[in-house]
Amino acid sequence: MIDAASGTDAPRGTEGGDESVPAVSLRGISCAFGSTLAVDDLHLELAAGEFFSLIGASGCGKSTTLRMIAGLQRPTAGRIVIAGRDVTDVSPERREVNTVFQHYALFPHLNVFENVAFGLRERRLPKREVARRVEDMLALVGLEDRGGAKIRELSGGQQQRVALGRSLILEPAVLLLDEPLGALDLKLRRQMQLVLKQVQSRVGITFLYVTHDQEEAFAMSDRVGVMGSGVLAQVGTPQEIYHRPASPFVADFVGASNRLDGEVVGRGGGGYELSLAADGRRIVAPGCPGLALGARVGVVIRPEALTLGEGEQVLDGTLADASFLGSQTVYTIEVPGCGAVTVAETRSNHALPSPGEPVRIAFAGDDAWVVPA
Amino acid sequence: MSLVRLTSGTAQGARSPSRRRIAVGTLVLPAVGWTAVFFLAPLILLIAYSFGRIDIITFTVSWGWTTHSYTQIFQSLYLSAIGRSLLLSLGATVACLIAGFPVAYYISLQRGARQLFLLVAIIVPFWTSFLVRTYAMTNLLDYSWLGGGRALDTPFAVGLGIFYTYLPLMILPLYVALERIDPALRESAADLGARPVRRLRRVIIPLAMPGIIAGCILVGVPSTGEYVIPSILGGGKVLMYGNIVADQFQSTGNYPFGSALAVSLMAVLTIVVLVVRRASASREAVA
Amino acid sequence: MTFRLKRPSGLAIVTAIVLVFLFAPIVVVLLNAFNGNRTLDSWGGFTGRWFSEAFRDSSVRSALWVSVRVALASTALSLIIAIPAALWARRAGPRARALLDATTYMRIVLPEIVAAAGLFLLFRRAQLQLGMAAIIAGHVVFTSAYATIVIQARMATLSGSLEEAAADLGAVPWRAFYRVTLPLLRPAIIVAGLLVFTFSMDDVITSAFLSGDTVTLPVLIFGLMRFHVTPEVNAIAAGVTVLTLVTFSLSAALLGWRSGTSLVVGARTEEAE
Repeated sequence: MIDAASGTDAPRGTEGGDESVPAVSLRGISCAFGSTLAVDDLHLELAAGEFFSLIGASGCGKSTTLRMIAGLQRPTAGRIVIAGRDVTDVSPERREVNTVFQHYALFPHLNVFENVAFGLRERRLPKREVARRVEDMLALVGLEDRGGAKIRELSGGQQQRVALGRSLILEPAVLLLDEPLGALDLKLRRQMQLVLKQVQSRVGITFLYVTHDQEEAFAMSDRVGVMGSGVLAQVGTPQEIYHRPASPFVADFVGASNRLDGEVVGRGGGGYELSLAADGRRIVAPGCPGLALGARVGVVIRPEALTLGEGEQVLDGTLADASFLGSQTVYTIEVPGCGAVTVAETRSNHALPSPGEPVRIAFAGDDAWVVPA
Repeated sequence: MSLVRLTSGTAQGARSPSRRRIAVGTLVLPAVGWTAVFFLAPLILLIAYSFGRIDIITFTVSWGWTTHSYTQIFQSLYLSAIGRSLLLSLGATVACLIAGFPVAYYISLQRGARQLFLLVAIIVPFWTSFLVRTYAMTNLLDYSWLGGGRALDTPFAVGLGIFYTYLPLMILPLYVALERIDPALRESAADLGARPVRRLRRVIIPLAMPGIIAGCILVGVPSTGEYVIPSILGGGKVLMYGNIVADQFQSTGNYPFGSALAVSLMAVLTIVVLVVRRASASREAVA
Repeated sequence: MTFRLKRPSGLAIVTAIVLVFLFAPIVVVLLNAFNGNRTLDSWGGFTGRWFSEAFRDSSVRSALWVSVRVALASTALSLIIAIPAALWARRAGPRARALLDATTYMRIVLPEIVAAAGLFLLFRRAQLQLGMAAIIAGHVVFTSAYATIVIQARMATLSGSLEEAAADLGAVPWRAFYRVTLPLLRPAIIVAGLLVFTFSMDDVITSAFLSGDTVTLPVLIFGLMRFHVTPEVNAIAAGVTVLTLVTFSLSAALLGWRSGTSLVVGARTEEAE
């Protein structure tokens, strides 16, 4: 554990530094604007070299958290430790943190080269050194010959790369990215996601990425944190978050899910024995630890874990809608006692039923996950 | 942000937020200082003098709180001049509005180079020396070949002069307000069957109201205190408020009376501006 | 673009008339400056002698020199006041900003005669000498307000995240100002400077009240204008006009016609809102 109270400088970045020192450590961070609490007692640690995403709906506090780490917003409580150094009272110019802003914030009066060189010039590096590093960085982000271009001549994706290069060149302990791909169209976003991921693994710098797009976060990150109303609802790998959500909020945020109400009637090695509210049947499914007997719970099943037909567990209902989306077929089925259940099949080896027909839904207990109600 | 807790010991080369706030505060010091000394202090002095009394013979001002100077205003022969002054500037303001609105509207309808050209055409007179433009009017009104008698030295000349010099000041804010009106609103009004005049009255003018008010204030308020235009175009025979005030300070030496006049003008104009702004603000709140 | 001659609309006609009305007197002044006929009741041949006569007049030359110095000083002081004030206003709370806006507005809208009279009293009471310093002080009161508006208008278009980015990249506040904010403010500073210079060169009332023994050019020609229309006055007026046209063209050339125009238009209307 790092003793932040001593206030000594740790070596810059993670090069040659202690790999076990977290790149970022947020200790009880809160941020209040008047009477509203944008961030509420947040605790988080980012490991050196990891790609971490913070996801949540707008207004959940993720951008505020980012700004506090950058130094652009003062927390009203808590400490921020970056690479072992307590920076809570340090101004943004002096933190080893750099940000890629949502709308890039490129300096319009400077060309590409000068934008990327900006931070280096502040450090009074000799001209030749600056030129060398800038050229290297431009090559890294794929803008080799555009050094002399003016910002307004660049496309959105190119501007993005300049913003990235401008920050990376300073070799921060952690790079903060505030929804940088928001302004790009879908195809470009996918491309840039790959670029970002490649750059990150090559350079080895810790990335803290903020987005409301859960798929994007999953595609790039080692770990993900889900935020809601200023609080971290869950932190884990994408798989953990998706398959083992800690709460109904997280379950609903990351992808579509069905939720059946139930009650815990037994606990065993495999998980919980539940009584479904719909028809009282018993199923066995894994779930969040620590749920007590008799507790009201929700059983989360992803639509893609359900199929039409026979299986280990079945539910009977009536088809309300069937939509062929191309890669998937999505069925909405009215199950008495459960409401509408969504089933997503990628390969149907049966004919498309018509609305109004009775259908049978199948699932395995292991595919379900129990969360508190 | 009153919840900031500055913990000790770990600050490394940081500027605490309160120090930074003080540093930022010094930025506004020149503005505040200059305004306080050279704008507010003179106004306070005017108010102080206006309540004083002058001894005609020794020209010393005695202090005290008399309203003598203020009552003098109402008794003086200047009252008619004051009334004419207000009427002239009001008339000129209205004339500016009537002439300026179509021009501003037309420019707002143009696009691209044409609009730019027209704007430059309005800005050039605005940028040209005010004195020269007033003087240019004398050329226009002095020609003996323009029929018998000079048109100069008449209230009409002064009014025309005010109208001429202040016209660009009316056109510019009108243009800005009209420019902001979404063309879609105009089109939808047409689409809903309103004929052009009706459209004007019920859609355009209400939406342009902030610009109309701004223009009227920009023209009406300074023009009531006009001094140069009546001097040049009125030849000393048409006295406006500004001339009367200037007279007290430059020739008569009756500072209390001059101050009272100045303070009264300031008070009246402030009230008018506040009333107009509050009326327009509440109308916007309703809308 | 196809050119079709359409019957011009009523609006276009009115606009044309107004524009002619605005320019005609100025054109007449310019023409008459070269009019050989002293009484100016008809054209008397082209001559440049009024210009040389005016320029040879030492009172005209010294008044011009006074005006130029006053204008330069006013420009410098106005910018020193306006730029920091605009920077501060960005970060200040809404109430403080409203206060600044109100005082800026007041300095422009208040009739000049009131401000000039007050300043006159101030200098007399403080027993300070009237003259160039007093005139500059008076000019700066309202010219700094114009400069503030122009610069604030431009600053409003600058995204706050630019300064944040500069800080994020390691630039302390004054460096961020110098490397990012100032270059981006340059057009506005130029327009503000030219605007201030023009208004200062053109000012009559404040200059008249505070002149003491020193006389600025506008005050001089104002004195001449009150009494008669003479060719020399025409020549001086023409010279002044050319000067202002040059400064405006200069700003337009430096900034591009579009942005220069929009800054001036914006400045004039900002104050009214």
